[in-house]
Amino acid sequence: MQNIVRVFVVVLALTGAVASTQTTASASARSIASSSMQSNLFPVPTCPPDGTTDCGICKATGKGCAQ
Amino acid sequence: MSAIELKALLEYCDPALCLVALASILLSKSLKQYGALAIFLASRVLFIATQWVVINKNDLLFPSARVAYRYDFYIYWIGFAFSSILMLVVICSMYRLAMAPLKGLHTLGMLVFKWVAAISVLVALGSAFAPHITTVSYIVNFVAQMQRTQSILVLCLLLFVCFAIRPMGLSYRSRIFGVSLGLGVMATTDMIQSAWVHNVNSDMYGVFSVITTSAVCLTFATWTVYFALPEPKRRLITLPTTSPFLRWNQISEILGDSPGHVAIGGLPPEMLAPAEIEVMRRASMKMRLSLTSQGQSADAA
Repeated sequence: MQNIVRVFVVVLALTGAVASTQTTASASARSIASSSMQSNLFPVPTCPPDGTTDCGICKATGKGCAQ
Repeated sequence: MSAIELKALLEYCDPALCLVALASILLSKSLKQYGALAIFLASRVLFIATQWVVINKNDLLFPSARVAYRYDFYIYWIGFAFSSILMLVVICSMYRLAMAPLKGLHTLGMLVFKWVAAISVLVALGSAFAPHITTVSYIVNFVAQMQRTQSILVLCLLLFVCFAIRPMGLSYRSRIFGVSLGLGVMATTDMIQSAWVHNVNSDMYGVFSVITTSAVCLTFATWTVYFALPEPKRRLITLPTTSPFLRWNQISEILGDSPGHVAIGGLPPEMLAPAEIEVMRRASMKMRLSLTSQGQSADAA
């Protein structure tokens, strides 16, 4: 049991290490979208918040479309 | 059930399981030790609920979807930054709990942790910058870089807790290990997905997100089980005298202590207290008498 847990942890760490080498230094917003620190329930708001766009909320929910 | 339906189902399970894990922590009366984790779970549910209301009830709360989006933008990114900071606090608290019996290594580890955290923030600030970059892109890049750094720190903590579990008197049923394991699964998933989205098309990403959401739900379920079951008591820590843990702990305990100082010379009498002068006078007199008696006995012989 102890060895199984250790092997699992080592595999986790190695996988993370390999994945980190594959990630480019300049992160894109898509990689943020994938973060499990936040829920995947909603799209990532990456449009500028200057009041010129609703970033697809109207299309997705069908609400608030009247400008 | 298609992958999209499964993903939608799992995404609604996410906040629900998050609440269950939080309730499990509260019921196990371990809020004091795992307060940071409880705040992380509570804030996650709170931000998800707020974002849901802003997006799905935007017609009732805001004049238009554009205004709703502005609120959504700030709620999301404040929530993301808050979660990242809380994760660092959770990692820090796990290390503190794990190293509680070994005070020297605990102090040394915290010092290293602070330096690593400070350097990580500086590197993230620098690497997020690019020519002609907008403020929004800069913030997004900075937070993404911080999230990767945090994932690496989590995996390092998990490796340490796993292999140093015996000298710390813990077992694999300890909550410290359970929480670290859950954090490790989340961190690995994040790292894989960050790499995945750069290398494959969006359809694959859609399928992979089912696995990611499952991993997050599994993590919350793991935490629930660990907090629902009684935790085994910490064993008495016995280490061989040749143990590197013991040696490093002893070294760490004396690191940074100010050394004692010895007066070699140039000591004026006014620096001494009257009692010290009296002790030295009597000691000198006794020594002189002893030398005199030794000389007389030598002459007689």
